Amino acid sequence: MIKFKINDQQVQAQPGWTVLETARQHGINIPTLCYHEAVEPSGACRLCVVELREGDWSKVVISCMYPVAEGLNVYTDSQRVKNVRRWILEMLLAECPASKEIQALAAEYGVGSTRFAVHNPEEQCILCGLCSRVCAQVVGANAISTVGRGVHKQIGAPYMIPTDKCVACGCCVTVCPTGAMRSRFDAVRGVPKVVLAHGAR
Amino acid sequence: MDNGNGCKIGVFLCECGRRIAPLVDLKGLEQKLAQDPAVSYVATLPFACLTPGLSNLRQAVAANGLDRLLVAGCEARILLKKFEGELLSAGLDEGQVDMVNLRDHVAQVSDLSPEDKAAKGFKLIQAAVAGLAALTPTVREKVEFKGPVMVLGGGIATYSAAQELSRRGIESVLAVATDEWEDEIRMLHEHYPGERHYYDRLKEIMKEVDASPYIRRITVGELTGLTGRTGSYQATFSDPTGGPPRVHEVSAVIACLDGQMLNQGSNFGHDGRNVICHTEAEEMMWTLGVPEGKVLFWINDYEAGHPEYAYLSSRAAWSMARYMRSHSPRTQVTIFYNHNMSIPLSTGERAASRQLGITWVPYDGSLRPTVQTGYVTYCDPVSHLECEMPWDKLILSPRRSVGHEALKVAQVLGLEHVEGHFLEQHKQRVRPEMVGRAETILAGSARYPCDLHESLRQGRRAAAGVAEIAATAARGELYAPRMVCVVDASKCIGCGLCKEICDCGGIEPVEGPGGNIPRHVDPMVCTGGGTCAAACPYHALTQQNNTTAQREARVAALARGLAADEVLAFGCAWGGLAAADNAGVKGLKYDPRLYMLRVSCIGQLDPSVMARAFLEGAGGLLLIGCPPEDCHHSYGLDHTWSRVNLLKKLLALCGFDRRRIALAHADLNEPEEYIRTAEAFVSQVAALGPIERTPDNLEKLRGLYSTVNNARVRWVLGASLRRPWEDVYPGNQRNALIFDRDFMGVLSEEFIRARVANLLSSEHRPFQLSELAAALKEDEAPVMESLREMVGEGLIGRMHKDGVAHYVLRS
Amino acid sequence: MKPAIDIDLDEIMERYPGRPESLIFLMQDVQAAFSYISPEALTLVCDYTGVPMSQAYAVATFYQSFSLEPRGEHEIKVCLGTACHLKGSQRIVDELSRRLGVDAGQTTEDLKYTLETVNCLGACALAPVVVADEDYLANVTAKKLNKLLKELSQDIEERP
Repeated sequence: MIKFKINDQQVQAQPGWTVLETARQHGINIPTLCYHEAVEPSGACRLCVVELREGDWSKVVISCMYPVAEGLNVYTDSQRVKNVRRWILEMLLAECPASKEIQALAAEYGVGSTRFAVHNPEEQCILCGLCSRVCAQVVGANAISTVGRGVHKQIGAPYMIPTDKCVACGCCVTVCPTGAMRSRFDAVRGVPKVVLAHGAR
Repeated sequence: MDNGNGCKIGVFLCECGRRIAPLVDLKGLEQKLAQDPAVSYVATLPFACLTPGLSNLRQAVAANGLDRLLVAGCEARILLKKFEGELLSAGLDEGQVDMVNLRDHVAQVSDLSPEDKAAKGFKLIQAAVAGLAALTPTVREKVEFKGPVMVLGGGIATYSAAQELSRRGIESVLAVATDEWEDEIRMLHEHYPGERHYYDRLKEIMKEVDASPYIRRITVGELTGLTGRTGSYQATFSDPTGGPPRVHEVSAVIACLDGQMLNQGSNFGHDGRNVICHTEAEEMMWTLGVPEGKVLFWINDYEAGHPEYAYLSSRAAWSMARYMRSHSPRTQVTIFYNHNMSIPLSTGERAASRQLGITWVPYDGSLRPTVQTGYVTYCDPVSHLECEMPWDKLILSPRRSVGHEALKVAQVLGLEHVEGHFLEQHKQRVRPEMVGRAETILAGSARYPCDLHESLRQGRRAAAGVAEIAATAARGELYAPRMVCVVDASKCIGCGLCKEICDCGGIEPVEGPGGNIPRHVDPMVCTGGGTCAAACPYHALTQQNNTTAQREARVAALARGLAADEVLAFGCAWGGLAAADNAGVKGLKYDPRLYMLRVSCIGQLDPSVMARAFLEGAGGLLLIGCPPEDCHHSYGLDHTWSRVNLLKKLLALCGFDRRRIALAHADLNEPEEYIRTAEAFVSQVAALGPIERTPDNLEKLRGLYSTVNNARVRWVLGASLRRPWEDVYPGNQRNALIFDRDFMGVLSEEFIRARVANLLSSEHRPFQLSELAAALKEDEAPVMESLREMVGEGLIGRMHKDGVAHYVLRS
Repeated sequence: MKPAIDIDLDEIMERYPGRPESLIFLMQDVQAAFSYISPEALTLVCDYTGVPMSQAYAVATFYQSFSLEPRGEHEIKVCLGTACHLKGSQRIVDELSRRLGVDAGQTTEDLKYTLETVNCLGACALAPVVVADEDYLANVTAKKLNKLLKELSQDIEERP
């Protein structure tokens, strides 16, 4: 039994749990975007940050991967945490202006507009990587991955053409936190081939 | 607390943060479930799927001796695998854990009150619990690998496959036509012209194979038969010396088949002397030497109708061109290609090409070049001038085909082939870990045209795949998947219907009295589509851990609980269910009167399940599959069309509206369209009102249920199910209308017979004709007809009392 | 780059054990041998190491040093770092682009030249700097560009 505090409230956890899992088990809500229960956490969105305080000193860490430890002092909604989340959401608003889910989440934190330049007003993909993780870890098809890097990073199948490794299960569409995978789905799955060496296709 | 089966079912309600808990009255739901005698244990968890939740689940299973578990949370498509994996150590195997999508089929998709949503959730949970109670879990089947791996077919990939197997310590036996492996290289250009630069490496591979202690070569004649299943095959070959056929026991088979290279026809001017193809060119170079003068390689694959082979042809041409120029500087070599093709050379090769003086000349692909004596006319793609390319020897691309040698072997292996195509089969992979026979065992250019390097790579890849499975089997860790079909040999009469409609090729004939009859399913090949089991006239096939009985139990429990205007639906994991999941994920709201049950393919729905829904009180049944021609199990969708059609006819015979059952299509990426489908059906059925549960109606529904389980009806239905070779959806019946009329006739007869039998067996007393006709509310004539036939078949007995014929069921 | 042909892909594979850890080593060797990683080579690397194609493709597109398109025999890199930029390196890029007929980042159709821009070569005192294959050219002017292009094309024509 590992005992520590979240928001000044005593909580108990077992070794191997993360701070996020413990918080959720105790009904404490921490927002996430790139986290999904079916796959390993990746820590890409940083939205689940919590503040760890030790005396005068504090740091922010991501709760989805931070292992529980005896005596932690965790704050899930402090000023510092709220500030980090607001920055993230403001940047996401610029990155994915078309996503209703991001707009709603930003509104919850009082972020209505963004000071950053919008490069693609149609973009919805936040590059959380959930689609490719689900495809690899749950489905086992490994059809898609991130392609490129930096500002040119996007999600796609190898060579950005439909691949027959895709089994068209739609798990990527289901786990996508925004509507991004919906529009990309047809570029990945192409047309399912049902040819037993017979027929037109 | 337990239920009839003696199993202990635990139900766990998931709060899922803010996504289920405040929207559904989970406390009330938990209380109701606690009082349900079918449920042994119920609890609510904040998040069932996270580490804390999972350890709660494991503890509850251990503490309460639970052997079935239901999580009422979110998508089974995404999370069921995690639950199964985490609960295996607690003794629950695949099939013993199920999920109900409380979040995205109930909580998020309507504005009902939390109490009403809990009520909907309760009905869905009850149905899932009934399904779990009806489960008889099977013991995990261990698959053994008996004997070496056989590599047959004679293709060149045999050597790379054997090498790979040998390097992984797997024993193999090569079934080849000749003992002289050096000879194989001599004639290799007949299948792979222009590849001499690769021969040295090939010789190394062959030497390694020759020296390996893991590899045995046997000289055989033709392959005449292959029976058995993964891990234990019997391959029969004719004896080349004329003796009796020889049978070899092997664990797996890799077929290495090379395609045939034919020559182009006279439409390109082919004459075998000056206008030749690649194979002839290579023969000429090695027997007569490099010709002098102007050699023109024309990559004419576009004009021959196969632009996809231009790359291969140009690479072969390049190789031969290099040889010519380096050995005969007086020979001029030009490669003449369609401008739509990009030159297939790397940077270094381009430089080499320039140095060797090989010119690459593009022509405008929209104007077909014409072969004349000494010239080929063409249009320059840049200047648009029509020009002439001089030639002394014109070398055309080969015509690639499977070849009849490869075809013969393929036929014996049960690989279907259609004219003009190659042997590669593209099937939707429904289980990524699936051991598909065709994927593993086929290598070589008969599979699809490829060069020597690729052919060898395919061989290596096939061998690596087989080796991995063989190694797992050797460790005793190879188990067959759980939800595959199995044949009850005592019920199977060997009609072969299942094998004809099966899309995965997993149904194998075994030796039986009177010849081979299909009686066995290879569990490593079966994809679990289940249309075979749903079609079998004698219910001889069962889908293990996912049976028709379980589906009937689910449907019965749900139908009994539905309100008058609520409808039942089945959604497949690739189409309807996925679309419904995505509608919920997006928080789209729609009519909550639709209750969806999950299946992996709607093709596994036996008409019995559909009939049971109505029998138990459903007013409407909707089956939502994939879009047309997109069924992941190939023909499950089409077969469902036929079964729904059967139900419509029977509903009409009962006097009920045919629109109460319907088939629909949903694209998982169009949840809004799915909602339109769902709401259209719900309003359609609501307008019809419920089927009154009067004794008459119930009697007819029981008759309907018996009729769909009647062997003759299932026979005729089976004859109309779409076969894999039929192009047309929904079925290539040449005389659809005539079949329809005939089928209706059969149904009318069997319907009456079923009702007569039901009546006689429930009343346990002799009936007169007039009594029967009155009870069934039918005319005496058709009833008399049925009685006469049933007496003739010995199903009922006739006796006379007071001079009047009475009928009684025979025990 | 010295053009090479008849490179045995299988020989390259055999330099490293057939495990996922060998992915980048193999890709580097293939890149060095062919000046790019063709789809066939990438497929072979995936087969050999057991890495799924999507992951290998992600790695290949992540690193600048991997190219999925053939590169020219001569790679001309123009530095666009601060010092070089101030000394007019953009004009050098434009001029080369005009002369070669390709944009920065592209290769000529005949696979003779590749034009690239880079961020800083750390040779600021020599600005503007152009790197042709392995050779650093300092204080590049239009005249020097002419000389460079002439030398490069002669090299291509004359190579035995």
